[in-house]
Amino acid sequence: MQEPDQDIESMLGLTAAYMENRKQLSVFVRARCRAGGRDLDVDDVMQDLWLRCRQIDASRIDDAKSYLFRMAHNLAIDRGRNVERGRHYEADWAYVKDRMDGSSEPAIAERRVIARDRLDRLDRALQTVGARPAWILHQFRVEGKAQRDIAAELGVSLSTVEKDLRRAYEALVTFREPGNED
Amino acid sequence: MSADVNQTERTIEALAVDWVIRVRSPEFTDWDGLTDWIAADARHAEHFDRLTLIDDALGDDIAALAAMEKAETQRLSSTASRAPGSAPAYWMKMAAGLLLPVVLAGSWFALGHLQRRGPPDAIAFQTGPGEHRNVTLADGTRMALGGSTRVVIEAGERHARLVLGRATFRVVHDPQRPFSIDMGELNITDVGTTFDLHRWEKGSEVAVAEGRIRLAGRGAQLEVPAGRMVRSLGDGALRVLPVAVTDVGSWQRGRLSYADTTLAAMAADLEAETGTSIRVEPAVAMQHFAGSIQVGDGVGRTLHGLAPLLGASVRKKGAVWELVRSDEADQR
Repeated sequence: MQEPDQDIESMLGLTAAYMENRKQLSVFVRARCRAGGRDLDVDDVMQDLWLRCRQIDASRIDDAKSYLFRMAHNLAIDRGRNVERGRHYEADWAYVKDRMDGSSEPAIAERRVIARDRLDRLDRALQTVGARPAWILHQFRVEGKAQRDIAAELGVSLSTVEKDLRRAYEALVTFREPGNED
Repeated sequence: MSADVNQTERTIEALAVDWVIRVRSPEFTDWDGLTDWIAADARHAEHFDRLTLIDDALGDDIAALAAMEKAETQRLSSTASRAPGSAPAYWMKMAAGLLLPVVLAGSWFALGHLQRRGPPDAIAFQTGPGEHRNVTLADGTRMALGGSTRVVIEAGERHARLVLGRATFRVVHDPQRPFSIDMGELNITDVGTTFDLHRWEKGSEVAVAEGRIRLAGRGAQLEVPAGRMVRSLGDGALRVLPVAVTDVGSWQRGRLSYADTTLAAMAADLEAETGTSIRVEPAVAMQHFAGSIQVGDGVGRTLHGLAPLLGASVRKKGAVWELVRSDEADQR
């Protein structure tokens, strides 16, 4: 793994934060990469992280450490997702058609059906959980509202929102099995 | 023993849910705590990973679901038809609070709106600038909405609110269930009528074309027959004026008629009916005007025709029309 020693560049911005937090970052990345039975290349992710640090203007970043961990977290998600996608795509009828004759339109239509089916399952999961938790989930996850703001808007307590949100997530977890992810 | 293992799994899962929710917040900083937890036990990492991926996909899925429900609501919410001559290519915005309770009884998205403060079971109709829309309610009552107009129909559909803009109502009379409309402080009840409402920033108006309405508000109660209009302005007084029956709701045919209005109010109307930006300088904003204008003439022609009569001049700055005091414009 190529990481320069303490040169001037590495004293600046994110790269300095990277060096400071390297050990904890790699513990985090290792735990994330090993999960899901995927066993991603930890060194590869750390290298990716390092390269990105060097390209980013850190002057407007308040909390460099959190920024780095957030980046590592997202990298792990992306890579994990690509592996899943790769696995599924190859078994996908669309992939086969693509390879064969480049005409994957019916396969795309089928993808739409599969996607719609997934949405239906999501819809049903949300129906079991109830109107308010589903609404709170929507506000939290899609509208990006903070829980205290949602509580204020609905006129309920913060702990009510927290409980409802947890219930919503837990319902989703039981409804969607791993491996059925697209 | 296996029950214990399951219990632990559920506990770990619950803890993982907590972490996922916390991490979702952009202000999350306890990365050390998270690292320690997922490094402590492979199961912790597994659950966190699984839930993170579910959560990651969730945003798009929920948004897609909500969009589908909204589209379905829009499709079902009225028997609206495009009014002939209405401006093309303008958007129709369905405002927040849009519900159709009967149809979407099972819909979690629509039900979510019920939790909001404010009246439940309301349907909002909103038009963009220059867009006209005809709506027929379940009882047969017809409303024609003008540009930049928002009307909210309450549950049971015999009550409405005109929030902004103009609308002509043709109410199906039912003595058992009178149709009533709120317009700010005013309340209008029909007695089997055709009437036109207009509400703008500084006031509101009701004009009756057929039948009569009962108007209540501002400490007054009036019966307003056909051929009369009532104007309510900030000064608190209600003024009753005569109006030509053919002028009532003439905006539907592209004609705006004024017994007495200000240049600013007229410009605002023109904006609402065309989507063109018009700026009126304070010096001429309060000029009074009586007469009709044809929306179809176009903003430029209309303003050029009017301005000299009111001591104003017209100029165009980019896409915005401006009405300024005459002598000022001459100095350019």
